[in-house]
Amino acid sequence: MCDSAFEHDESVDQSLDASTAAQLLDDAKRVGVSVRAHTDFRAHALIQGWTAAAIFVYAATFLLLFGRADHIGSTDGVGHNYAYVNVLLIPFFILMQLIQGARNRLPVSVTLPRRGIMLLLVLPSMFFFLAAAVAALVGIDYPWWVTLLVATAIAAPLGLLTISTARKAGGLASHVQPPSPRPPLGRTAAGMTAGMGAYFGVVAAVTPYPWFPVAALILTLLLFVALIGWNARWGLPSIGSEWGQPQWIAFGITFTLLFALTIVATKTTADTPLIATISSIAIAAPLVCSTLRTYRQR
Amino acid sequence: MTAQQPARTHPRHQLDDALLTPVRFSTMAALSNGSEVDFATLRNIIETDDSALSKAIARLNAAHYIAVRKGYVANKPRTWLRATPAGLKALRTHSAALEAITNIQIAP
Repeated sequence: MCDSAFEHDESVDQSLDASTAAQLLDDAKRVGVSVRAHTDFRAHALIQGWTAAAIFVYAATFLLLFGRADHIGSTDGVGHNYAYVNVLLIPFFILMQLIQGARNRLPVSVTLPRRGIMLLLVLPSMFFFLAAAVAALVGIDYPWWVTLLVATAIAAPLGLLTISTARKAGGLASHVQPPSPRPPLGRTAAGMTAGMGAYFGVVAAVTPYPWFPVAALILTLLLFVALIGWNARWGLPSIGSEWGQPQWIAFGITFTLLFALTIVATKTTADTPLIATISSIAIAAPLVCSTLRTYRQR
Repeated sequence: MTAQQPARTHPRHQLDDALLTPVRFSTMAALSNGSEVDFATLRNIIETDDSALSKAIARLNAAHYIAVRKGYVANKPRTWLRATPAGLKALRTHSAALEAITNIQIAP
């Protein structure tokens, strides 16, 4: 096929007879089927499932942090709860960009439901989240399991989307990328991954200090620099596209530990400088260690 | 005084200029389910070469029928394409016109 064919409208009008039109329509059908066959629904379902899990953890932590307002302020370490929003936002924003990178690896992205359907799915979740947030701000106490219910409701739309995508993977001859041993990370990706681990470690290490809100703000600004460069060769989506299983597992551990530390720091007095330092090493280590293979093979 | 124009009832008048070439039409057909497809995959699916597809993309992008996104995967530049709502609407109209042409000329 050549794009220069049928360049002039008149020639098109004359040459577009029934058989040419039928041929074009047949070709369009063939192309549509081929695109569907090139879609790796299984990989998309996995990505959507893990994103739903991350949203659940994020929402549950956020609500635990601000919910049950009568309990907040009863300990020494809870004076600056709002500063901890940054601790929650940082890994969450980074995760969203990394997930974009994982999606970029796939040749064809799945189609999202129509806007109207998406709105119908998302609006109830938003309602539950806002209701819980208002209850927390007003000071209404509610049992801990309500937090889990609300977090489930927030993650549910993506969970439903995951089920729908997984069904397509089962029902169709989905294009699954053949398993192949992943090469070690490139120098840029390895450096950025190790840097990310160190960054999370620093965030964890500064939590017990009174100047933490200022440090959290500076660290968030650094994150925005990384987010602005999302489209660059060193941007987070590019890094995420290179990650293999070890890096994703490492990020999952770091993500969970950082969120757990946030709850400990806000709800208990256990977040001492010593514990924060030990936690920061535990938080930084998985991502830093996941890059070692890269340097061992060079 | 202007000459009276004849009624334009033939379905060929509904054909979209931007979709008249087979590569452009196939490109839009490939993106018709709302998926985002990367350049190399699209080139293979519609069985064309880089140059022809690039020209088609430039024309469709100028007509605001597709959105182009650029980025990196594993340190290599990549381009992704997605049909816009205007592009999907144009494709539906164009396909209906092709269908009508097929029916007219098949009918005795």
